[in-house]
Amino acid sequence: MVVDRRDFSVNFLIALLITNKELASRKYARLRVIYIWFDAGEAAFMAEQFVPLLLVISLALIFALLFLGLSYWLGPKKASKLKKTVYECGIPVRGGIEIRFFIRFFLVALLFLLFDLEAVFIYPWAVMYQSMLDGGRMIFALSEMGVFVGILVVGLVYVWKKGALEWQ
Amino acid sequence: MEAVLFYLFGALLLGGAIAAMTSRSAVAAVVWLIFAFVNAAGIYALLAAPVLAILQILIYAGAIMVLFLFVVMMLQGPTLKSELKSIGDRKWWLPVGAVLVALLNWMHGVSLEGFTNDAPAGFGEIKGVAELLLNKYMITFEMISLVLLVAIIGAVALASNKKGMPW
Amino acid sequence: MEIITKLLTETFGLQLDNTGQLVAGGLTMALIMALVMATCAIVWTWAERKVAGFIQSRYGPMRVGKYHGALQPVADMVKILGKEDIIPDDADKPLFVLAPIIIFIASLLPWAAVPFAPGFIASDMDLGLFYIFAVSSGAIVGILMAGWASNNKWALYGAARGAAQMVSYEIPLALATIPVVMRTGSLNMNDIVIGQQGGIFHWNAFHDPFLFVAFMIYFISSIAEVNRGPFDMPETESELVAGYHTEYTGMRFALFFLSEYANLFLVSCIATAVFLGGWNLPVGNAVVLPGLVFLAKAVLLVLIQIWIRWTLPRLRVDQLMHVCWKVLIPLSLLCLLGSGILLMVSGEIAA
Repeated sequence: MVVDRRDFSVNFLIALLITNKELASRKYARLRVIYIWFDAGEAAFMAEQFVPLLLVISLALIFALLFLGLSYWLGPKKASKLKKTVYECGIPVRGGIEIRFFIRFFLVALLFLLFDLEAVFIYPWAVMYQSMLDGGRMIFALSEMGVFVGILVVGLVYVWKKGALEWQ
Repeated sequence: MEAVLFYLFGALLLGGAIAAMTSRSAVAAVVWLIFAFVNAAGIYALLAAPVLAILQILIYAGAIMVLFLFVVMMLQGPTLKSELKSIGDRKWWLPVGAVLVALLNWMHGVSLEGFTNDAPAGFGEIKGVAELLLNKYMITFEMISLVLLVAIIGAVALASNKKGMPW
Repeated sequence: MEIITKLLTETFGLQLDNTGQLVAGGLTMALIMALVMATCAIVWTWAERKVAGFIQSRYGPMRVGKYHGALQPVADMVKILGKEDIIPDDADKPLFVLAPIIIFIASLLPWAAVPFAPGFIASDMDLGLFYIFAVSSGAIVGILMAGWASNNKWALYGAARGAAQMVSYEIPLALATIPVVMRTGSLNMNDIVIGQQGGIFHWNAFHDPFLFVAFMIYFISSIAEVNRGPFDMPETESELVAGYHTEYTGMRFALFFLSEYANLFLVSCIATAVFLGGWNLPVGNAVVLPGLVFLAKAVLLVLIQIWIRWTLPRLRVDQLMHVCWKVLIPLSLLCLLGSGILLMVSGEIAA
């Protein structure tokens, strides 16, 4: 078991919760795993790749809230009953939003999910393809993906022939 | 730093999941579920498994939840504020949940011996994933496409009636 | 990030520890975001109206600001800040408030992985391209939420159409970048740009015919992905009032508007980095003014998109789906196969 000695907060937590001897015992196996998780998360990855992302999220949130707050502060607040109805081209609203949704929206979302999964599985192969070629396993590299995509092309042809892609 | 983030994501994940269960509007429940998934992705990233983190957002939060939203919108009754029964109304889930947690606790303590090694370098990176997926688990990889094919046929079967597509 | 770190260490003589690096990352991010937001809000809205005016034989904005209405966007921003924020009584308030914020965040997040210049990237992720696709899909959820929470049938129709269109076109968009990943062997945006060094015929778009087709597929799908004409089905004024943001006013509407232009700029920047050589010059290996070269290419692509919007008529929904599922997806799969064979054969010849 390795604990990252550089990280003050983790060490602090360990000192607070538990002694090293106790940690080694079977009773605390669960806690030990958590420490190892932290250790597996390399410090470099954290600092260079992940933390900037958290910064972006917070910055974007701050920008959005800033704009909204400014507008709330500056804008007039003269609400009226009519103003707060939903828009219907200037006439009284007829009916609610109980639209009959076409099943094809559902079908498109489902097909998207399946083909998106397909694309996601192609990416790891694409990353490895060049090095597999260099390793001399050309036919293997191409046929592996050929079979994978081929089966899905059968699916696409099936959907096509069934007319599921027609929108009239 | 990692510890703080871990507990932050963990708390948000649990909070999102509980809110999704107790929410009375189906759309709000889906949104809370998305929130929970995003936090789960954060935990994956902390575990140095960026591929898993991004897949979590791309597939779960991005694709499956869009499907959920479509389904909820198709099925939702006439008004926005439908009084769905939330899980908070049913008290039987409390003992069931307690038993599940106890079971997990027990499994966790027992089975982790031998799994507590350090992950090899680059384990959660795309190259590591690809290496395993394309060599060791090659047959499984090809089976995935068969499963997807079955799902495609199932989707068409769900949407069609006896004469074919309804349009 | 590296540029800021270098600036802090060399110019100001600071010793950077982890905290310092975080500060540097934050500064880069703030810089990039300010750049993006300012360009999107100020330049693109103005450029859009000027180009539209030019195409339709009129002037466009002329009054505000000395030169050709150059300060018009600033005036618009000020005006929109002073507008009343109306939330309809029937709306689902929490979701109504949340939707524009989600869309806005989803439109700013991908910028973290855009390589403007060597070292000027907020998060040099190994999975950059993957990450961009993942986070930009958040916009779909935001659009569905906005349409639903408005409790307005036009908004809901617009949202359903928009989401169906965006999810459909995400597939060719993702598939079109795979030949590039095959050639580069990496998903890191920096690596992808560096792999295109050495003149215009080393850029991915002009490297071989398959990659050129992939570039075209990417470009078409990206226009559909950001819901711009001729693919602006979710906002057809003649049928759906304004689509999913019908009920939004004031700053909330402005957030939708801003994210739309941010997305327009984003897909151009990604196309530049992935297909058009990023900061590399058309000739030679030298890196000269990398940031400006990058922006010049991205600006060109944005102008082409504006030109297309004001030239082509809007498609019908069935045509839209036809183009995506029956043309672009099979074509991108063919590109994939072609690129695979080409890489194999060229490797064979080299060996």
